[in-house]
Amino acid sequence: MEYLAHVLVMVCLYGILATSFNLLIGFGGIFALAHATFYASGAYAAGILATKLGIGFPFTMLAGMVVTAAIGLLVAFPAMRVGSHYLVVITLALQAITIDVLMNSKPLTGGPDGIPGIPPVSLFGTPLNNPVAFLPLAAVMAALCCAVAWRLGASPFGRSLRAMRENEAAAQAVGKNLVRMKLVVFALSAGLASVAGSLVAHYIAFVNPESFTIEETILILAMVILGGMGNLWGSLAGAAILVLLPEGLKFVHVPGDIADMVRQVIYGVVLIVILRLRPEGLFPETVFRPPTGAVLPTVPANGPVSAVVRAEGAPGEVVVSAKALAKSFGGIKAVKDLTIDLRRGEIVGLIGPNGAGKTTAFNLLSGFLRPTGGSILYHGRDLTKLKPHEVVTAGLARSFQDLKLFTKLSVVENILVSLPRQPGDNLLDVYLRPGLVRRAERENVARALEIASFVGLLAKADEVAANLSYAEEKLLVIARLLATGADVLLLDEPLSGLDTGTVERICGVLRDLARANKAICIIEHNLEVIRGVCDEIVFIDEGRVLTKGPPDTLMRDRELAERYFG
Amino acid sequence: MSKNSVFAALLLGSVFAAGGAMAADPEVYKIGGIFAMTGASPHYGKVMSGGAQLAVDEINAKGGIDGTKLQLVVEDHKSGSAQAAVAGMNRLIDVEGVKAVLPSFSTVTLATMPIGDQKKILMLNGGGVSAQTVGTSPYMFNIRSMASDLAGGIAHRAADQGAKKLAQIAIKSEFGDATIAATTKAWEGMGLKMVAAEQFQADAANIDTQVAKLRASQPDAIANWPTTPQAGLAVKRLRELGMKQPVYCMEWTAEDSKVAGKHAEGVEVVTDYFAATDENPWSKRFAEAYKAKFGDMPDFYAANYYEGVYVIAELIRRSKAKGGDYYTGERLVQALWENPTFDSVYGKTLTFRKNGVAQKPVAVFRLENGEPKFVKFTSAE
Repeated sequence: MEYLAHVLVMVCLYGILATSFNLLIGFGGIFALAHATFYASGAYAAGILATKLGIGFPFTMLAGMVVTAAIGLLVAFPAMRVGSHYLVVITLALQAITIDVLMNSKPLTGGPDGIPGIPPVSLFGTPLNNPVAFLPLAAVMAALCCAVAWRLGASPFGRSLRAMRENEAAAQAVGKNLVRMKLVVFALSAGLASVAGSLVAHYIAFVNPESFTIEETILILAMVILGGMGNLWGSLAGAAILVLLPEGLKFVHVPGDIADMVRQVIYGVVLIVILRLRPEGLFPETVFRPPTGAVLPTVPANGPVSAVVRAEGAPGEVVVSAKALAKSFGGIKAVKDLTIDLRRGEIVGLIGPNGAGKTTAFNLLSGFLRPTGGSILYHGRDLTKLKPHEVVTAGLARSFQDLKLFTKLSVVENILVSLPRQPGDNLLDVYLRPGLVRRAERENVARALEIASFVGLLAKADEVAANLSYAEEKLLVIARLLATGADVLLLDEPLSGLDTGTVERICGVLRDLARANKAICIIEHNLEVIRGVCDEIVFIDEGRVLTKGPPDTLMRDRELAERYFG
Repeated sequence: MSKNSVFAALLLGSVFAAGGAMAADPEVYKIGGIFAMTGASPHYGKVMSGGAQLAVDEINAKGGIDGTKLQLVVEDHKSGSAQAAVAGMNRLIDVEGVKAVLPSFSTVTLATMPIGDQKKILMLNGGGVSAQTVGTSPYMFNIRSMASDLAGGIAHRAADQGAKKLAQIAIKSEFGDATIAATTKAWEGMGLKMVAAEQFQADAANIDTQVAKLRASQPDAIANWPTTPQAGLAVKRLRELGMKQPVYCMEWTAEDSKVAGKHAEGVEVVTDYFAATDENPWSKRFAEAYKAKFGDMPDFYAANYYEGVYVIAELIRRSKAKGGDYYTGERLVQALWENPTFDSVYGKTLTFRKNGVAQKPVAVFRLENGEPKFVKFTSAE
């Protein structure tokens, strides 16, 4: 009985670790391999506070959470600047440093000997000093931690994390503050992992460095992958399997002193078979689908302009005014003396040969690059030093030539995640004002469906973006831009590679947007399209404006034709 | 039924009720072993479980304990995982019903010790040397000499040979920390000077910085604490960097002789090192049986766990002889304290001191042609 209880306690503790790690890597796409560091931090905080200062549970746990969340914030800083394999290397280094610190800070951590004699948790005067007594506490704590993780994962903040995981630049382009998101998810994930650390310290009554090595991080990672990235039920299943399987294999009699090695081989083979059969894990990530009976959009496909938030102001009013913009990369001047005005209700076509600086101009206007000279004014407000998400919040949004859709999110999620000012993006509201978040979410779903309907994607609202046709992907890009609520839209080649019918459809959408008083700028190579939808053409080459004017006039210009077509 | 037989039956019943009668023997006496069967150091698990299993086989071949066989049940602590060790300990007690456990590694022993204490399970450590395993539980015993014993032995040996200034080198581990602290205490306790103590990471391939610092300290002798294969590496680099002072080690294996090569010559090993000798027939029988079964000569870890099983078997035997519910951890501990002296495969006897640590002869060996040659016994106190 006690053995079974012990195994279940470990399932609970690893359940906490796996779900918290899943928030980081499964939802946030942040491949930080230092979860055992957070686990160790909680365990050592409990060990040190309990043995040296006589502090008891739950204060040891709370202190551990604060300390570990702070460590999580520290780890988050390199994650701001580097990603993928660089972050893996940095966090592996942190893991190694952790073990070194634990080994060498002997007066505090006990060094290689660790800290023995940590007192057990005592509830109502009863010490929980055996597995059977400890199991209810472990189960309650696991349920609480999983509820905290689940609440975050299922909230709009969780959706934003998944969007960030899919494409950081696109997440910024729909107004997400990645710095804040990374800090929050690191701190929360670390804090939850420290709960497991605190519990294990009081439960085993001993902590030592060997329990928190990189192998421990890899084990927790295996639980997340086996269960399914981005699915918290999967993490619980992964934890249960990877704790129960090796214990179950102990009952498989293997003769000789290689029994445990043989069992490890069986263990490995079982994992390989599971992942071969279920490559995305036992519980793949689920996408949000509008609930049956959701507020139905009031507009039909390709519905009227009222589906779009009409921008305030007089048509023709200058909204964005970029003056003498310049951008140099070392000795290369990608953009020099670029001046452009964008007006309400007008569509400006930005054309020029490849390498002319068109996309760089978009990057400057949208905050993805900081200009080395010049200014960008939006309604008189200087945008030059704003970050991309701040530029979107101000009212200027852009798309990308390579679309950068959130491919594992559904169509409606792609739109939902782009809606501004969601209470569910605020962690305090997520946990403290669930009613507000729920109400806002209902309204936002209705709004997202309305936008999907406007671009003609209502029928595909619950389809995963990766399954859309190319034309549908282009429409979704526009829908996502619309959802930001920005009144200045920059579209990078929204019509390239499309058949004539779809081009006409998207051109219709662009005209509708212009009628809704949006200021629009598109980069396009199809001159027929430019002629058909644009009110003005700005021709740039070698990073500067060569000429600008009405499409018909410029297209008769021989010099332009020679430069453009060679 | 006659009056006499009724009276006899009542008397027998009253004896049973009083608990003085012999409890039924178990089907088999299970002895738990928590060893490093996988992970970074499976070599230790192999030799420790091998030594213990050989003892079990020998005892069973002679009829077990009054006809009841022994069985070794091994749990894997994956080379030092406290959590794996605790899972194994719980399984040994709860599923296998063991009353005595042989833990290994200091941290594993520390992690499982509270469970042994709570469940009243006799624990007999033959691997770890941490002082923290000493004196914290009435159920915890060490059959391996502690770092303090070996350090004392080396301090005496070096002092006997005229050294006044001692330098130490060790791995950064609980073993290294414990030995450095114990040696410093023993050496300075004799009024002598400790001039250097350097440590390096367990997986370090280059230890020249530490060796250079030892050389700069100009010691008369060097205490070399790393385990295999760094013990050999340290000797090699000490000699190659021109240090000719006597070197004393606590552990030395054939692997160290390979690494150190010709530089191993003359190095002394002061330890409860196991070596089969003609003066000790049991040691020869054990060494031959071990080699026949596993193909290698046993090291002292194999010897410790081998004699650990013999100690536990003897405790069961003594406890059974006393009658009653004899097969419990409490009764085994009681039997130990009634007579804490046991035959030792190292020679003569071992005696458990009040702190639960067995006192065994600490021997000095000198390496000649890569082989340890017994020199003398030295004082560990």
